[in-house]
Amino acid sequence: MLAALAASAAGCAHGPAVVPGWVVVGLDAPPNSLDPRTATDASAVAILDLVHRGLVRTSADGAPAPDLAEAWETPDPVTYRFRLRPARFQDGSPVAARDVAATYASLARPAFQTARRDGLELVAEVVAEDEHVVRFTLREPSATFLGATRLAILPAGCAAETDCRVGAGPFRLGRVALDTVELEAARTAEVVPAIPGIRFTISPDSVARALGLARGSIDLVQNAVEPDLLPWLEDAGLEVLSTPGSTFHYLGINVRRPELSDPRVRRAIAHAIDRAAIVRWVLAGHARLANGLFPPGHWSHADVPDHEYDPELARRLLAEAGAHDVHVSLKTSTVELRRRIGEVIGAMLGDVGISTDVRPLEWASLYGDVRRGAFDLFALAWFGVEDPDQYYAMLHSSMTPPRGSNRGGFADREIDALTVEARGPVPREQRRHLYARVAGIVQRDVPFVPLWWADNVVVKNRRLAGFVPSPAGDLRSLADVRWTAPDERERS
Amino acid sequence: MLRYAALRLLLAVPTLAGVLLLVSALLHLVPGDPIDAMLGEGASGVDREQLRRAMGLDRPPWLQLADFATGVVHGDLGRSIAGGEPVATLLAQRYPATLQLAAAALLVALLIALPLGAAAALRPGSIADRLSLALAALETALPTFCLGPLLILAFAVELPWLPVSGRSGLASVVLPALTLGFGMSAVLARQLRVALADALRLDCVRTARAKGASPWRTFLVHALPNAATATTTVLGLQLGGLLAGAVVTETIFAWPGVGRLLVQAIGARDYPLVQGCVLAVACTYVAANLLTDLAQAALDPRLRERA
Repeated sequence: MLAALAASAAGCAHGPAVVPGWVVVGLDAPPNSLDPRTATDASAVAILDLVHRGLVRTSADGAPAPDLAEAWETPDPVTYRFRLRPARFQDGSPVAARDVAATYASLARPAFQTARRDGLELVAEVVAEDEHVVRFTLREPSATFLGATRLAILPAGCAAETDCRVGAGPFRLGRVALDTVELEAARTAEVVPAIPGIRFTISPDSVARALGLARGSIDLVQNAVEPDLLPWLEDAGLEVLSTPGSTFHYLGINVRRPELSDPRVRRAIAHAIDRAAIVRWVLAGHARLANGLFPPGHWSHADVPDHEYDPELARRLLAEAGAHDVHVSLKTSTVELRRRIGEVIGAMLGDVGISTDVRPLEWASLYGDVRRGAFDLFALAWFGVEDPDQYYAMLHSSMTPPRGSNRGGFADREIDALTVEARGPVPREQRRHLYARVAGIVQRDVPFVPLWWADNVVVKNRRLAGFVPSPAGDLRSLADVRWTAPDERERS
Repeated sequence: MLRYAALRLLLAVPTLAGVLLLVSALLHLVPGDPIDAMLGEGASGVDREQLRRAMGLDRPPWLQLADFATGVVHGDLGRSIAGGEPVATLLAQRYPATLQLAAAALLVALLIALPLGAAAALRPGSIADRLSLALAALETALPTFCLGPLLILAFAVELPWLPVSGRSGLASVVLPALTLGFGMSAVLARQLRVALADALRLDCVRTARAKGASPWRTFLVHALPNAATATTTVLGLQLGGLLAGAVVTETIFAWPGVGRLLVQAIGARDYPLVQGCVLAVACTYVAANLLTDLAQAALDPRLRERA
């Protein structure tokens, strides 16, 4: 036994002391990949957002804004011509049109068959017209193509590999070890970050993450501390920043179930849930009540009334629908906060006469059940969704899994027609009108119950200045942070 | 002795096969799909069936398991579905951490249990005896997910002596080892107390005393070996449990061990990786049991003769 201890002590090389000046960011799970074409989980996206840049990025209102492309034009509905701005990859080479073409061409390989290709299925051809201009030709017009060009651009040579780790972002990937990923400030960036580097450290337990912040061994976390612990962390000298976010929490409904097929029953469910109370008491106020997929400020936000908490109305609607003794199950995740919210919703539904059996399930089981339609109600969230074409994936009658995300089996001719029209070559203003009509139908027929948009809650070291949380919940602002006093902490 | 060990190792093969079969069957029975877990939300343009075929996931589960078993016989644990790395590489990265934590926890447990159990047995009703009883009650009332954060709060935040979490040098093993070892020590101390109390009443101990052996000699040479067999059994069982039960501790302390790898693999429905982890844990369990039996045989001549 002692020999085992001694032997393993020799193998303790990983996780050495953090270099002074580096920012330590706590994540709850390890990234599933470090190649932007296969990285799909939240940790990987958070890390790689800092390493890479795409042709466009998402602006505050959810619309595509110039990034590596300084401008683009659409001479006809199936042609997009992007002009690149001068920029360099972390290996020193300039970002050229052929790199863009090579990156997009690489997506056709089977290794990169992931969600990153969503929105790019219609691309027929990508051609480098000269050093700075790249032309995309689509098979047919698409309203969602531009948003999909957020895809990270890789150097042409590197794009040919299956694990490309060079980008044009402000940080380059450094040492990667078990449970740590390090990023170093890239000298090639247009504006070189003021901090020398970032270390992402995986800390799977939320209480331990909070304790790490209190100790100073973690400098910053986003959306990874239970709301209950926030006051304690503030008392411990940390700064809590909260900004409105776009992560959409909702209650999915299986409309194929006879007891849930009547829209009045579904409306009753919506009116039975006191969302304001949940946000106030369970989420410590860190969310806004939602009336649809996109929050105010997003270009497609629709101003439809939301379902107010009215248990009396809920009971009346149930009586009108002749729904007595309704029994449903509510499937939710085993994450403590989600489980608690599920219990509260279950109790509220019980109050109006819908007896609810709350079933917390481990993630893969929950997701598996939701995808194969084995549920009455489920509670989940969409994050990172930026185009309202999401309504097509969630509500069009042809988009039941495995094709799309219409898990509840909702089918409505009007919704089908509207969501198809809005993904065609129509101007933004017209799309906005079409989606407002979709939102109105969602309000009336309740294929799902919008719950809230979660705030992005950042807890950070007070001496770390300049971090501005984004609505999308990314960590790009880490490129702008600096220390306000010399970093003299001792860390082991 | 050698024949006995070989026989036990041979018997371990059906045990391992049974464990593997049971775990794989259960994992295929519960909902969840490795392709969905890998692709994440969206991925509307992906031909999931093609991907399933390419990864061999369209084959019946029992065939997949048979492939895995054939691989194991040839020393190949296959590749992880989620990351594509060889399962053996992933296990080799994690196994030393698990072993280190188990060894350190065992050391902590013995350091607490031996003196406490001995003192309790020598002086029934004394403060040491009551302390060991109180400790046993506390252990039952204080699960690791509670004790772990309390220890961090005390020895990493309020008194910043040790790291909060992660595996970085010997200091980082102290808190997780205390968390795990404390839980083991109470049972061990109580077991030792009972066994020692019995041993102290044995004829040989009385004879040793009558022949004028010093109290230390009586205790160490005559009583302790007699009490050791039963205690070793408990220790062996706990050592096996340590490897499986360390999942919570590994999560709290971000300890990169096999337990956490297994939980991640189950979450991703990464069948080859789950099977690899289960095989590693089961092998260790079997090895711990074998070592316990061999230690007992060494301690107890009666067992040796029978074997």
